[in-house]
Amino acid sequence: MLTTLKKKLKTGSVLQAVGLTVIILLIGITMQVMNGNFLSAANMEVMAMNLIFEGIMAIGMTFVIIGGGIDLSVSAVFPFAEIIVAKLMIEAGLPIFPAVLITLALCLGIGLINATLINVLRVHPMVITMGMMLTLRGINLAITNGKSIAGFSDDFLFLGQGTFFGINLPIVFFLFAAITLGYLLKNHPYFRQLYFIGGGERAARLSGVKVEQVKTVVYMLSALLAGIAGIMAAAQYGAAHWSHGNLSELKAIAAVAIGGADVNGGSGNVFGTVLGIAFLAVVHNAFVSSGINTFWYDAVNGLMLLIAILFSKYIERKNARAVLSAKQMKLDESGGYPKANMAEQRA
Amino acid sequence: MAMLKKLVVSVSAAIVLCGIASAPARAAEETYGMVVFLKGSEFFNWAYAGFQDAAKTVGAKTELQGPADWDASAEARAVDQLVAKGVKGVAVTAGDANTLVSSIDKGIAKGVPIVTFDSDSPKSKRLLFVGTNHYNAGYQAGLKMGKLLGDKGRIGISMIPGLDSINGRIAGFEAGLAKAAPGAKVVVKVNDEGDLQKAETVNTAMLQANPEINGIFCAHGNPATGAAAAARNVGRDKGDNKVQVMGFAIDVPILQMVERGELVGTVAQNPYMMGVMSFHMLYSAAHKTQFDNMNQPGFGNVPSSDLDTGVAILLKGDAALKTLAKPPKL
Repeated sequence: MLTTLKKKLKTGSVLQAVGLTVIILLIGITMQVMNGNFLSAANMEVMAMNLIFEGIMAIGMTFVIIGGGIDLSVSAVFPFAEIIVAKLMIEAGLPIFPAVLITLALCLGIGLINATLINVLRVHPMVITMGMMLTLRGINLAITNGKSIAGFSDDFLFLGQGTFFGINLPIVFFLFAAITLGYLLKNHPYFRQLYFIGGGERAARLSGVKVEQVKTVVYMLSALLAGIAGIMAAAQYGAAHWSHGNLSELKAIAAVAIGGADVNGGSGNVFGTVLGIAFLAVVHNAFVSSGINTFWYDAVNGLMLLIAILFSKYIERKNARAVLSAKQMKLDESGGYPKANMAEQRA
Repeated sequence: MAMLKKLVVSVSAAIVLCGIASAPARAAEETYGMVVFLKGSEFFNWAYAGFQDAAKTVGAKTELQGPADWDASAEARAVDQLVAKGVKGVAVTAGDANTLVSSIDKGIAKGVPIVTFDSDSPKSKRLLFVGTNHYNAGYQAGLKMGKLLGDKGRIGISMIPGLDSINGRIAGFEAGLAKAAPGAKVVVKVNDEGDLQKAETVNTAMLQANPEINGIFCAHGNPATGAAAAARNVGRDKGDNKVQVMGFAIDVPILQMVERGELVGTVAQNPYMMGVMSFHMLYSAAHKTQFDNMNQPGFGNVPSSDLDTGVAILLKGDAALKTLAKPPKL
């Protein structure tokens, strides 16, 4: 039992997850001892809700990053969904269900455009999704004249302000998405292909993986989750505004990286991302609770991101060395075939 | 494993040390929070300086929260956090009036006094708004331009359409101008879209199409430098035919342009006083007296109408130009 645990701990992702969990707990305990209200129901609710929309986006971002891509457009899709659902419901008078469906269909369309441009033009995803982000920001401003839209029905507001067994609905959705998509990523062969693509796109393509198709699904998933987050945010704030979710793409990417995913693709998991977002939320809450200048919050997040990347690189190199030494051991066991081969060649 | 252990030990030590270091900071004093968007901007730094200075007079603590960018939803979350933390009061400037309604109302329902300053959220249950009355500000600017140009004043206005605050300033400006110089009139209004370069382009076109214009009123912060550049572009930045440009900002470049005589003056809001008055309103609301709050029972007494912190029209040589050019002590 102990040996199995030790073996598991030796793998990078488990090690990073344990380390991150310990740090989160330590910060939580310290803040509780210092301020006494860290574990209060009000603070826990605020802390959970503080980065919940970035968390939902981060789940989609996990899939994108594992596949070797990046999606900067989520921070613009988020207010785009808010604005579209608001326009459809408040200005066009559509009921909730069709308004939400049309909005999500448009978000899926944005993901489809992102993926198609990435696949067809073979330009780095950062450039394509940045272009999409800037375009959507302009659209968001233009179609609202910079003003917010408010006046949703109470039924719609329930999506962001309602509770399910006492838990806020956005948190319920986040947990549902994390568990479902996390399970699929870990177990479903279709999504397992992502690790192959992220590890080496060319090799994956030559092995018969439908790289373009998988990437399209993943970018559409990312845009869909950003859209859902946007709709829930509009319901939570009771308003749609172009400024909402500004820079949320960076928080989502940071959560994925801090959670142990390789930003170059090929590794990562949803559980790590959940821990990453929990870390960001706890640190932010600790800053507010302790009254420390929150400008330092970004510095701490940045530092943690760098540590996480250094750590994952360290694990990557360690694993590469382990693979090499295992190969050498096999060669040695098989009687030193390469040496004999070289001797034959010389002869 | 060794690396992980070292990492965990280092981080734990850092956290504990930070905790010990900040332990005295959690004395039993009252804490009041200010929430802004564009945290770090000069305008809101002045507001927070006023908030801090006012808090010091009663021995209260303050903290500044909110995003460094324009994200009203992040402001809403900052209000939620301060309320959950148990601060005695929150002053918030609304990056978007509607987005803040829910958070302000929740805070008020939990008994935390909340006021808005500079940018209001009128649909919320905030106790009151502390800031510039835009009509009055525009009126002062109109009076000054009317006195300066007389009945021969022909004014162009550089503005962004659709914003209530700017509409209020323009209405006030026109009334002030009519009061001081009944023969003067506003010739045209142009949309600078809040962009400096765009302001230069549209104001240049405006001066070329309307050569009788001898004054430009910039109804918001950005376009004053663009309007001055437009006057330069048409060769009317000096001499008898000079176009007199009035700004509406206290940014350092604008103040310097007034000092150099490139702008005839600027309408200076008073963010420091917004901070001071916001704190005093919160302090009053947080401490009940024998006479309860009339609008919102359960809170201490505060004025039942908004507080206008006023403006000053700063002209070349005014001492305030130098004072505002230095960053506030925070």
